[in-house]
Amino acid sequence: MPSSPEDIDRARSELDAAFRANRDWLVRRLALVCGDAEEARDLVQETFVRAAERWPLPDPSTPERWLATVALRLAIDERRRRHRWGFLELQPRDATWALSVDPDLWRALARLDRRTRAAIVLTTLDGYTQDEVAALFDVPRGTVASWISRGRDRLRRGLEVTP
Amino acid sequence: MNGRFDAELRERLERLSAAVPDLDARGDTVPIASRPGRPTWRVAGASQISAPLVLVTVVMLVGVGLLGVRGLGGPTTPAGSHGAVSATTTDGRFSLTIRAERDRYQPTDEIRIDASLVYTGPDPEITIFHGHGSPLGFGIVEPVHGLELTPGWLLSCERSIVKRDVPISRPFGKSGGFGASDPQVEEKRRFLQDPILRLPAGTWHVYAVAEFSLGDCGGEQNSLRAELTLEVDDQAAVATSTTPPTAHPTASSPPTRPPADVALAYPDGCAAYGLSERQCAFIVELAMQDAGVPENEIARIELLGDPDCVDPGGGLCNTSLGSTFLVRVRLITDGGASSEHTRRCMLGSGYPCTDDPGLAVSSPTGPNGGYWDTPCNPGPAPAGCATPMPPIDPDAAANAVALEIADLDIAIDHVGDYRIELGTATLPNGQLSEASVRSVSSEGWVVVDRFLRLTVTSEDPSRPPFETAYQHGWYPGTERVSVVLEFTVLQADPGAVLSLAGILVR
Repeated sequence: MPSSPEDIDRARSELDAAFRANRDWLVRRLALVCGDAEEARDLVQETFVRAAERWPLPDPSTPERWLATVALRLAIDERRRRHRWGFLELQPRDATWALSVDPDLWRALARLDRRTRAAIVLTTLDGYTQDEVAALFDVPRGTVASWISRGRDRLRRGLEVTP
Repeated sequence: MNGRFDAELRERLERLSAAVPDLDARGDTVPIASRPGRPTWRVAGASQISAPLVLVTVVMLVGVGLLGVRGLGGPTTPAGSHGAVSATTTDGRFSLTIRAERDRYQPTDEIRIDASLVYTGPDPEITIFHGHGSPLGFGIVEPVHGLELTPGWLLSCERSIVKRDVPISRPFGKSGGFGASDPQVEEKRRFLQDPILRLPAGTWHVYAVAEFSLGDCGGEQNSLRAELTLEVDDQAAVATSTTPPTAHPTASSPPTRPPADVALAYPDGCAAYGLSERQCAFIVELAMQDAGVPENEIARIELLGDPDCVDPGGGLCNTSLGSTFLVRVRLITDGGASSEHTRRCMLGSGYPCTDDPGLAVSSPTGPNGGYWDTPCNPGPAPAGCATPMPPIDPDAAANAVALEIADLDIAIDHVGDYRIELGTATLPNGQLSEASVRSVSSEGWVVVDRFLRLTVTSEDPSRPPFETAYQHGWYPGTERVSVVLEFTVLQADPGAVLSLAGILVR
């Protein structure tokens, strides 16, 4: 917790920088995971609230890891998700932006659960290893491997790509 | 081929990710609760608007439970006739049917529609998890008076037990949204608040949806949609229109709450906001924490409504951009200072928002765990996809002993970790086919961190853990395992008891 005015200014500056560097990236990834850009923005906002409460983060050199972990857990945590039932997942009316770009992929993603979507997005787009995803979700690596294997199969079927 | 698929998938995901719209539209900031002694952060240059109240959306759910389920059943009649019409969608073990008394109406006619969901699977009953009130919702494809009617649920997760071949039904209810600055706001509000559905002349596509999950709120998602086409025509020859437009129970007004600026004393005012005693006390406690004021310095606590509500009539006006208004708490100290703390339920809102502690059990074979997934790696065997598990040896099957516990009550006498050794089982060839708990409930309020974990561990320390069937692998003869229930209690009423039923490990 920053105490002196200088510490507070420095922390504020670092948080500003982390926000600018990571906010859009996180929204883009979370929109794929939770299927709704609006929800993704809410999740990222909540993530930065938590970051601000805890700043400086345990490893200030890689805030993106901490932010991704918190944001994805917020998106996926079962106990929290149940409070968001009024907003259905991947409704076409919420995703005209996605349907206009790649409707087949969007619909194929919609058939996966959030954790599988997250695992596939992180490993495919951001170079996370299965071990890193496992640590992020606090599950064994084998479980992540299963999510990815099953998810890829379903995506492949959904996209009608011959293996 | 995997490489080609990976490359294509990456490219398409990148395109999709890049298309997420309007990233800066809401001027998100980095706000911080006004906790004493903490710095207040705000991103330089960002909007001073406190998200998320840029646009107010009103969601009205009316008619539910007020119209009653009417006799709209009977044999399915193809659309176009003047008799009852229906449409059914079947997906696996579930069927969704939407019904109307007929398919042609006059603009003054009341249109009676209902929908029902039927489970047709092999089990006598199944538990489904859904939004508030029902898994069923309704919408109309074409805007009505400029208003888009789409399915909506209040924010919660509820469970229903659906018995095989016994439909659960819901009459049509209106739900939709409009902006606070909409020039037709009054007309749209009136339409939403009227529990009777009447439509202007035209062709209308009315649909029902069933949205629910299995296993848990975040479990396997199921979505069904069934649609009817209705004609509304000034000259329609209506065969069976008998209900006068005004004939409707007076109990049809939507749920109301006190006017936003009328202060109700705590705790008497809790019920007016639909809050249980426990929820209300929790919310007030959070407000005191936010204010940093100890309870003994507070002279008065008042409850108020949503100052941003656009419905001056105090209707059900509590949803804005994904968050649900619960209550505004005003704390007045002995010294006369006052502070207000608005509690909304959005993500991460936790237990102020529900009286359902959401008790659930995780186990190696639970939903979404992928216990029986066949691992596949790039390339041909043996590096490629694993072969199926061999069948269980009959002798091992005969010698296996399941662990079965019909009922287990656990006295919750402290907050913190619990570890309960349930017993042992012997598995044929080391194959775990089920580790489950049929139900878990509590007497008294108990909040558990995430899940109660049913863990299965081999008594042979050289054996791999039960993470996936393939990882655990084959075992000659029977493998003895110990079964433990572990969980962490975060909050509990004095004398609370957790009750588990139907524990089975085999």
